[in-house]
Amino acid sequence: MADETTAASTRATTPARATSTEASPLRTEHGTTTISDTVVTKVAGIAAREVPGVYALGGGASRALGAMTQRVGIGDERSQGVSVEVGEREAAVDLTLVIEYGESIPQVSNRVRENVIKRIEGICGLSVTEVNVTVNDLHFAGDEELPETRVQ
Amino acid sequence: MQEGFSPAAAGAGSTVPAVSERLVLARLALAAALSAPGVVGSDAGRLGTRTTLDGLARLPGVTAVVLPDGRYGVSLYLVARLVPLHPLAERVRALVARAAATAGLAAALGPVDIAFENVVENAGAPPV
Repeated sequence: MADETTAASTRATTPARATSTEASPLRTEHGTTTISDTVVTKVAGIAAREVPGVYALGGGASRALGAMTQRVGIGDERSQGVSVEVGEREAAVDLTLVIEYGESIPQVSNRVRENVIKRIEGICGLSVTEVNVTVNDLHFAGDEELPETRVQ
Repeated sequence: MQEGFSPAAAGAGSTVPAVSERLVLARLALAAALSAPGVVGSDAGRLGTRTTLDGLARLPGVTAVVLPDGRYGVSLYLVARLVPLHPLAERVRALVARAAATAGLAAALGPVDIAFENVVENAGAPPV
């Protein structure tokens, strides 16, 4: 399958995002609030999956490994294909997607980017500086059908 | 700071063993945090180091450390639902402050640091 890559970045431009970098809710006189990379990774993964047209997250190897680790109960599907860098007030996200064949890759990528920014800002209160989307595969309906077994 | 403080032992003639302010604050903080809607559980970390030993029991996901000014800084490591986390952190701080004030430990409570270590998608999902 030919790799199609739409690597693009979205800069924070809304007033809400601009103010969130000026006054951080993370550090107050009563204590600091820390949000771990795991949380941002999960939120980004869940947000990406919410978008119609996204079939799965992660490359072939990571999905195979993810399926194996989930089977033994140590993996989490929601964080595969997501890589984040989290700073004190900002986060940058890299996503690897498998998109349904027939969907517009630029449109799905943009919707994913918007949803990821919305969810991370809403839940984590972090300003998202960029969301890089890599589409590394297409999914065709019927791909997941199991081959017929010889024994009935 | 009082050594061997115990709210239960504050009454005259009590024989309940005294407990340090640090332990009482750790207990109160964890109980208050877990009572907050949106908090699913606490997280002691992979090696279980974010734990306060309370006699034979363990208080996972909370530490209390004395500060140079004599107060105790409390750190909470929490697992939350998918809700806005900063308002949740403020609610937890308010609950901890209220619990400390009720126990007569408002002056001993320093900053309450809150770290969200994980989130769960489903309301019924167990803490990770």
